[in-house]
Amino acid sequence: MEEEVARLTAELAALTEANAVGNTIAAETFYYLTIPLMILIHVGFLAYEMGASRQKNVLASGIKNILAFAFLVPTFYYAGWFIYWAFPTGIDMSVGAFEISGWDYAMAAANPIGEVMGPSLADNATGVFWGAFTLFAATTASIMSGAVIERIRLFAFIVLAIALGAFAWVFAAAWGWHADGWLVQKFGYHDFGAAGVVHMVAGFFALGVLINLGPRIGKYNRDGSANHIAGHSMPMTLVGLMTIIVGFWGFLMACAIYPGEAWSWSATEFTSIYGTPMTLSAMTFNILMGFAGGIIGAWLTTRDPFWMMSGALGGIIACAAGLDLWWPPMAFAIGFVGACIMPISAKFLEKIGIDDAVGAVTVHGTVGAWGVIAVGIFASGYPAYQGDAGAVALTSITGQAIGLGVMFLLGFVPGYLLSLLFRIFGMLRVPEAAELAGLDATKVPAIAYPEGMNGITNTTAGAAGTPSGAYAR
Amino acid sequence: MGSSLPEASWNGVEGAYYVGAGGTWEPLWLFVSMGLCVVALVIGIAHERHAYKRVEREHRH
Repeated sequence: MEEEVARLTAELAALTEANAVGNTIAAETFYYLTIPLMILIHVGFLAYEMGASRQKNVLASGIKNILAFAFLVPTFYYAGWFIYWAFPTGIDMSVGAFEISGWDYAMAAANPIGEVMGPSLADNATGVFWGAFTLFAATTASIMSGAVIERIRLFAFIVLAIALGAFAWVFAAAWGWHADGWLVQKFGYHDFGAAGVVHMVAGFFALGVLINLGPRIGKYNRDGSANHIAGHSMPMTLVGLMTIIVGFWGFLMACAIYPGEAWSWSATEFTSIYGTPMTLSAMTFNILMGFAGGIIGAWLTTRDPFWMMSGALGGIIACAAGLDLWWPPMAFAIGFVGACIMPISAKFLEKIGIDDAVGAVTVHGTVGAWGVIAVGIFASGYPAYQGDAGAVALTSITGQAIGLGVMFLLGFVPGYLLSLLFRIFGMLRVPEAAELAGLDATKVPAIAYPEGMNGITNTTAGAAGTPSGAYAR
Repeated sequence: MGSSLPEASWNGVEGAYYVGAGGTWEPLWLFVSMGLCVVALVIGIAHERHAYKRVEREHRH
């Protein structure tokens, strides 16, 4: 009998250990797989930006996009990951309420010269978490990339991308996308899918840059009216946008915290990054409903396939902050409204002289702001993190409004100031001759379409186009 | 540098095992990788400037 008990005890221990190993490998694989999915965002951005460029600038736009991604990987390794863990409570690097922040924690979890940031058989998590966050960072930088095509200098763009992806948005994430974040702890800020910390910051960073960069030659007429400068391939742009949507599933998947690990918030259920319970099922309901609402809303207001696919993205962004909370038809309506706001915002920006080539400020900045404030309007009263009733900050319109203001400033101010510096030193914009000749012919040792496209050669393509207003019909 | 394992065997290896683990090489390689980024950027600026000057010259002619 005793032998039987001992045997069963040993078997139980072995099964328990095997189950724990299985959970660890599943968790590691879960985040590992978010990374190639998020790389699809970059495939999408690449196609989208190249399609939105005129034939004379196609490859230069592609190079810019590829380099933003490439430079964000090492710079996020050097600085971004450390900032995320060091600064949640503010700028003094003190320890937060959950004790997962501050200088000591960051040194243990993200020191770029520490063993934690290299291969270790004792650590199945750091590399895949860092990888997922690196892709968040690269996505943030790439959002700005599309807005500035066809006239920004590559060096200035790379530095701006690093400033946005490895610094600006990381502070936003530390403050508003971390259980110890001061916006979360003090104001109950809720931003599950990063409508504020990624999209708003990137969108308004782009706005700051665009103010200093100025419009493309031919965008505006002498009387101030605007022309629509068509990209060379709308189909490429549309496929790119749809690919970004595919990648967004990976992005949002990586916003969920896997259960059952030492670093998990829960032993049994997925949680948000704040430690609040949620399910992948909830995300699925709301991503798809927001996506559909966005497309249909944009179709209603523009009839333009570019804005319809941007509406798909906008619909998801509008719902992103509360993806874990919405009733699905509500997600549809919020996405729909977000898409309806897009043409108004885009028209306004164009009217005040902002030439945003792909609508990045509108889709990410304006619609992201709508998403953040929508949580305050419709989802106030949810506990922002784990804890007893009365001891936890609740989501509120005030908290979301404060978060919205912080996200705007964290994007706009560095974008504006840094690009102003580049402008002062004559390093922001390509010379007029290069812009007229085309950036591919100027500096790219390759030709996008050696045999021309639709009878148009690279030397003749790209004249400024038709009167603007495709989305204003 | 080479292997960082204490013995010529994977038996008993549980922690960090990358090349240079347990030593003092990490900062050196960190700075090497940073330096490569900087070098690429500096040469990139020079290439851009050269390209813009060339196209401006051609534009004037």
